[in-house]
Amino acid sequence: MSSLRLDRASVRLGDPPVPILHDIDLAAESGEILALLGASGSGKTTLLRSINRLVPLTTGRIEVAGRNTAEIEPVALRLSIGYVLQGAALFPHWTVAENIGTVPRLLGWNAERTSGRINEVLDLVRLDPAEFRDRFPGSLSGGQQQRVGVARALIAKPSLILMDEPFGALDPLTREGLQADFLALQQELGFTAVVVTHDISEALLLADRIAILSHGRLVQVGTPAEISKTPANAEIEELLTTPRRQAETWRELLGS
Amino acid sequence: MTELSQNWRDLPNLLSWHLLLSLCAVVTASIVALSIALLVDRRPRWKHLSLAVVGVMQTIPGLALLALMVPLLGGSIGFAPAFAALTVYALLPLLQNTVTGLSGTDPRLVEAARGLGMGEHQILFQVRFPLAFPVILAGLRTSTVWTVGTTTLATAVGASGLGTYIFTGLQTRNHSTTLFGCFFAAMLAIVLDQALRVIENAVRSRRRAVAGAAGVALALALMGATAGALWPRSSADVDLRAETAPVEAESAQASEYPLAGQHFTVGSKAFVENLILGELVGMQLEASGATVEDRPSMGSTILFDALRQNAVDCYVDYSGTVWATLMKRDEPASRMRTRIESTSYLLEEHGVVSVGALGFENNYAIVMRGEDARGLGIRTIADLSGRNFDIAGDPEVFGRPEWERVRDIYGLQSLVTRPMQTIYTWDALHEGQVDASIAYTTDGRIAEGDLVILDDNRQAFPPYDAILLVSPEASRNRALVEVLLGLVNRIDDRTMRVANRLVEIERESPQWAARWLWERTRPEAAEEEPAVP
Repeated sequence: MSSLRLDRASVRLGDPPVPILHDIDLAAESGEILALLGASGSGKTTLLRSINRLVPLTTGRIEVAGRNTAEIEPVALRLSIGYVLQGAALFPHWTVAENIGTVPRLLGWNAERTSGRINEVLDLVRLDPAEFRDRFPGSLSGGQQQRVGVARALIAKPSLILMDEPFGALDPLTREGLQADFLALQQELGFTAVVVTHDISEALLLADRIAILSHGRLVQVGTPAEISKTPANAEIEELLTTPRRQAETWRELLGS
Repeated sequence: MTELSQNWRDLPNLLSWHLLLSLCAVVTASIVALSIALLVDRRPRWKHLSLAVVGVMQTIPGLALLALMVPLLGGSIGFAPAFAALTVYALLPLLQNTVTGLSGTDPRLVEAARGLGMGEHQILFQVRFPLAFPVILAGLRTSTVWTVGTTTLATAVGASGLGTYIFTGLQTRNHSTTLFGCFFAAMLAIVLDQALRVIENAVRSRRRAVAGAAGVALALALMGATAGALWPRSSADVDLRAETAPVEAESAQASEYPLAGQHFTVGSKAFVENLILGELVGMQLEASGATVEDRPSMGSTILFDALRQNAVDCYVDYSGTVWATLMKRDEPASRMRTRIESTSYLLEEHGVVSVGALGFENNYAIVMRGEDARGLGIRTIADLSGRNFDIAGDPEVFGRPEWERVRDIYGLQSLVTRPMQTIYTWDALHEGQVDASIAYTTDGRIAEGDLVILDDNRQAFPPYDAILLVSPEASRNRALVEVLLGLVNRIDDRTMRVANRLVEIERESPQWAARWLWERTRPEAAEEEPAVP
């Protein structure tokens, strides 16, 4: 069964309304990582935000786990979906444990259950609970903050997680470590993830399938292999040359 | 008793009242500012409007705002109008910082909060408000310092506080008393500011235990410090008057202490003579067994309104003031006619009763340096006509209708008026900064130096008989009126001038001068010549 289905989803924003997304048909299977790839202004972030109703659909519908999201209270919908933002966006006035405990607190869990679960997810993102629980975000590195951001999204065991350029603002080494850990985590827990990225290397590395957007339209959807074999247009082909060129440059540099 | 030890004695009571008044205003303003900020949140137009309105109220001078609150609150004086005005005054920095702080939240954090499933209220109270808290605390600090400073002005509407030192000190030229009040007001502001700074820094650096402990400590300290105001008066408030009060009121004869167990509020205006007379009336009442609350150094019209509304029981005013300021009369009248007509006006229009005249007149006069007057051949006010002299006087005088009348009758349009506080007019005259000055005929300094009173041969200045006024309610208290009658016709011009001189030249306290004066008013002392102690 599809974990997520978009059916002719369109978004217009502003006054007068400007079309942002045109008739998007897209689905993510359960346990799949779907990358939304596109340049700035392609509509990929708006698409992500329309899934948890931070942006309203103008026409069309979106189903999460078989239910039309228009019929679910926005707050209830969001509480059931994990959300990871660029740069983590942790609340600076709360400790790591309080940040991770945001959703349980909103769901009304008791303190004991919340506390135990906080330790579990901290272990999952490979941060030592004893060391990190009571620290404030300001004292953490960028990579540590994003691990907390992932833990915050995972705590209530959502079956769907939305990630907006989660590894964007990190140095390459930290990013690779986080990407590898995230892949392992996803395989272990089996949740569905929709990851927005503008980095084709990241999309190829992380995603089971990639959806490429341009000017608010879906241009191509396919596995990394399908896309690299038969790019739908010249623009995508051009996009694919970047990682290839990089790889060749590295080979030359290291080989010589 | 020295002025300084008297100042120290009054300090616990005045300081705790000052603190209580400032605190109540700041706490109320905080609640109001928060409520407004939450109401206008996400309504940009209302946000700008509310800031503009509060900003405009801030531009009203503090003293004017205090005075306006008296009629707005139905003529009540003391704590209530001071509290209302100071609350309005404390609003601006609080509202500004709360609105700015709430608007300044990082939009990514709001997005994160909403995306995780917080409702708008939860975003406001769990994310935006706590993040704005350090900014709001900074506004609280500014507001607190302003308010503690402005509370010194509350004396003018009859509220107790450190302003009593400043007003009285300025009027009696007792600069050590003024500085005494300024020093403790400044200390209070600094201590509160620093205590709030500790909390603000702890909040900013997320040391919750420190912030919490500092907050609790400050709250406890403030409760302790204001307790002095709320507790009944203790023996620490004993002052010079206590010597005239009955030692054992209970065992005393009812006829000897006819006011035993009764409580009265006595006001006075903000100049030396009236301060002395306020003390004198208080002594007279306490000598008859009453307890007395002082409202010294009040604004002139505020004091009359307070009397009219029974917020003050009695004070001393002048027939000419009633004639010109209240009755708006500008034709000349004899001393007797002014007194009779003003007395019946007060009774008919306001229900205020004049118990009688104290005996002396405190008229306006124009004085000059003797050598100038003789050199220029000036003897009467009319001789000033056409000269471009500088003439000093307090701002109130030049605003009064009787000055306009004097000016018109004698043709004094060419004079340049130089408004200044009465205490400075003499220095200005002696040092040649002005050529002439408005003076009061009972001023103790009138015999000092070589000064000439110019003849008012056309009787342009109205007569100013000192009259003892009681409120409509107090006038029904037969025993009170009987006791006050003991002061009627007991003080002549010369005696009053000597009492004023004690304060103005000899630098004694108004209480000391009042004590001296009170002894002169005893029946057995009536025949004796007043002597300078």
